[in-house]
Amino acid sequence: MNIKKYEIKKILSSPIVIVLMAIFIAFNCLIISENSYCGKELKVLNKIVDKVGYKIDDEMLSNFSELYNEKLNKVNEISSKKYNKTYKSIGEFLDENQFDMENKNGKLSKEEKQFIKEAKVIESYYILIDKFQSAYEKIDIRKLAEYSIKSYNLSGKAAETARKQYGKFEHRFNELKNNGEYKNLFFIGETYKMHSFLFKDIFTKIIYEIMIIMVLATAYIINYEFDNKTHLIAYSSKRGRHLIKDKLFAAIAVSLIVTTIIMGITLGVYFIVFDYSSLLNVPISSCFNWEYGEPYMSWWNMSFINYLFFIIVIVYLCELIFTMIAFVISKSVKNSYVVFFIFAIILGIGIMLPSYMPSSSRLIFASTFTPFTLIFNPSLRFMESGPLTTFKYYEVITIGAWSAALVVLSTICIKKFKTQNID
Amino acid sequence: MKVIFNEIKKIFNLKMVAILLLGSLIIYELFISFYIDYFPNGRPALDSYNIGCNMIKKYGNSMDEKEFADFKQMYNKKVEEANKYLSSREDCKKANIRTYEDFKNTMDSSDKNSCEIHNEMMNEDIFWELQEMERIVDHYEHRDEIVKKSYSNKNYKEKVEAIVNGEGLTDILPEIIQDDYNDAIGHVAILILVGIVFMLLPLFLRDNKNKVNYIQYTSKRGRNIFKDKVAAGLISAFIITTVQLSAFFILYSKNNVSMFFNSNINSFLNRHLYWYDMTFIQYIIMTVAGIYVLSFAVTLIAAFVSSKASNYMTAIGISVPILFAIGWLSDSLLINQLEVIYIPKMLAPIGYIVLITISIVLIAMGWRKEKGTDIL
Repeated sequence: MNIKKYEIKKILSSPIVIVLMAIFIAFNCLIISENSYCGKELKVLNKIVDKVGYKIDDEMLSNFSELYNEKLNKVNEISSKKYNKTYKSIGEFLDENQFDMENKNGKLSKEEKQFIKEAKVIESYYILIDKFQSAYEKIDIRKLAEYSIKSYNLSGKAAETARKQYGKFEHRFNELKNNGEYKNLFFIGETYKMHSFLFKDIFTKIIYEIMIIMVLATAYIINYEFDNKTHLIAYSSKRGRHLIKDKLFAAIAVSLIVTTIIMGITLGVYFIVFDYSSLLNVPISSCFNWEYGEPYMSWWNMSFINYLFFIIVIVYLCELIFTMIAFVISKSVKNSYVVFFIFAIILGIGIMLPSYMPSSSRLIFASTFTPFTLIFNPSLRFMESGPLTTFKYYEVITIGAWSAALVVLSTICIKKFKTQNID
Repeated sequence: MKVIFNEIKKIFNLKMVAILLLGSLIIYELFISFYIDYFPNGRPALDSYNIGCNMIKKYGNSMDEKEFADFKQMYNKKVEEANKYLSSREDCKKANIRTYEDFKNTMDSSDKNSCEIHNEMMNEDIFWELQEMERIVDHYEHRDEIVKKSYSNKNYKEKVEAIVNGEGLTDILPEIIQDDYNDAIGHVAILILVGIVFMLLPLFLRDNKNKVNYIQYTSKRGRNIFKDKVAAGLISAFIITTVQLSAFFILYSKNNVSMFFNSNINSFLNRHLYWYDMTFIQYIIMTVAGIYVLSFAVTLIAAFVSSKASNYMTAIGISVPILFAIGWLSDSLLINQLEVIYIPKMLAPIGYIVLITISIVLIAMGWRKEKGTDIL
């Protein structure tokens, strides 16, 4: 136990690991604060949900319309006092009185402006319910499948497989439509793009940051004895060549610690800045969660908090996989300097691989089952995610297969090391 | 001299060069090849390029009023051609599109028939060409107003005034050409910097770890080897930069933009204005010079890091944020948007000077420390 503790200490006490973590966390906070301007508007949805709930049904709609009319009346009250005029909607009011809203010396006081802005946000949610629901019902998965197959230039067997997967997804989509999973309020994807901000921008950064630290730390700890010329002593001790197991254990433990610290602090700051408190149980496939061409449609009925949880699990597992890859590399090249760059090359090849596969064979799907493709787009995990990765168990298969392969590989490395000439 | 030569040999050992080549190839494939393989990227970029080439062939690098009249005539001829084509088609008649004027007016129409026709006409070259020619005519006729309107900020009012009154504005340089070059060269700069850091981080570290430095101290050259190593680093950086840049420009020549080399970058067709009235080739030379300066600064910083760090993890760990910072600087100021008019004129030179000063101060500090360091 003691040895393991000291091995972990070797990494965590080196200032560069701490400095890098601090820089990365500060960078993440900067990115979050740059986007915090819409935080106030996001809070409004929480207020709505607190009053009328997030599930869209008849009762909620009547409550919502009451709430909306109340706000509209109040705006009209203000307007009739100041302008002797009433409006049918708040948007109309804003169009006509833009000058007073934006100007400090206009007719409206600060509180009134604040109130009107909030009312406008409520109005947009109220109006958009109808629009999104009817648009959602018009989605045709088959059309989507053909379109995406065409845009990826798939043909032959590859196109067949993709069609089959989309066929399976269609079942899920019908289920999603029938059980009303999509009838829920969420931040308007079109305007705020919160889903891709959190799960793509922030999570991708987190994943790469931890990857950088972990590859460096793993290469450092595994080749430490050779780099410091202590290998002859260390490996002739009683623990001897079993030390390599302790080192692997230390690398894995550190990877968990680093992941927890970086992800924990970043997400903590994120959820302090952006208020999700009333929305944790909203299904992720809500029709409001619609940013680009098609909405986010998940394979399973997951709430936001579940989805977040599974993505966090994916990050932990992927970082473990990367640590193991770094372990295998550093066991086979020994030079701790080039490990980092060889890992970077493997990462680059992994990302490029699908685009070099023949687009008519099934090989192209095989090439996407890598952790490098998996982390490329964290916002689309467990979802309909284009013709190449829309498999129900894509994440499970990828992580399972790679972990199994890496466990085997590292066992081989450890076994081989026992009989290796270390001088 | 011999020491420097041998140090360079140590830097370019086979394994490192192999990894550098492989890594460069991947970065090139991932980030740079796009700007060459897909140039011009789709339409109307293709038409913009073709028409630009034809204009240069016919009028030379700049277009005066007489030549513009000729261009307009060409445009009118094209319109007639389009009219003939449209009136000859049955389905167009049905949708009440008889002339090119009708065609333009129904651009955003929600009528089903005309929508279909517009979609179909996307396959015909002539309509793409007309669209681009129209843009050129419009930009030429209203060039003064457009420039004054889009650059109304008072920080660069004088320069805009000078551009409007000068002759460069009538030069022909479609925006896609400069945009493509700027994006590509920005990525090339980062590729070069990463390559240099990769090759030079072991410069001191390798010898320090193997304790070869103690032997070096006892030689006749003694601690001056520090200077030799820095010189070797600078020469190696020069070699890496030159090789990478020439590889890039050989590939870039596939884009076939040499006819635009003598056009002023402050052209009425270009997206941005610049502080200096230079030709496109001069601009390219300026960015290349910028890359050399950046690579020398990064070399000195990498050499400093290498002499200070006690192990490779620390060396790479320090370099990562430094590279990110310099990459960001080059992307936003030093290479990609060099001397664009909305960035203050002196900011880029100041940026270069600060970077050079920092790197020289660091390496001087390293040298002073090296002179007095204890041998344990």
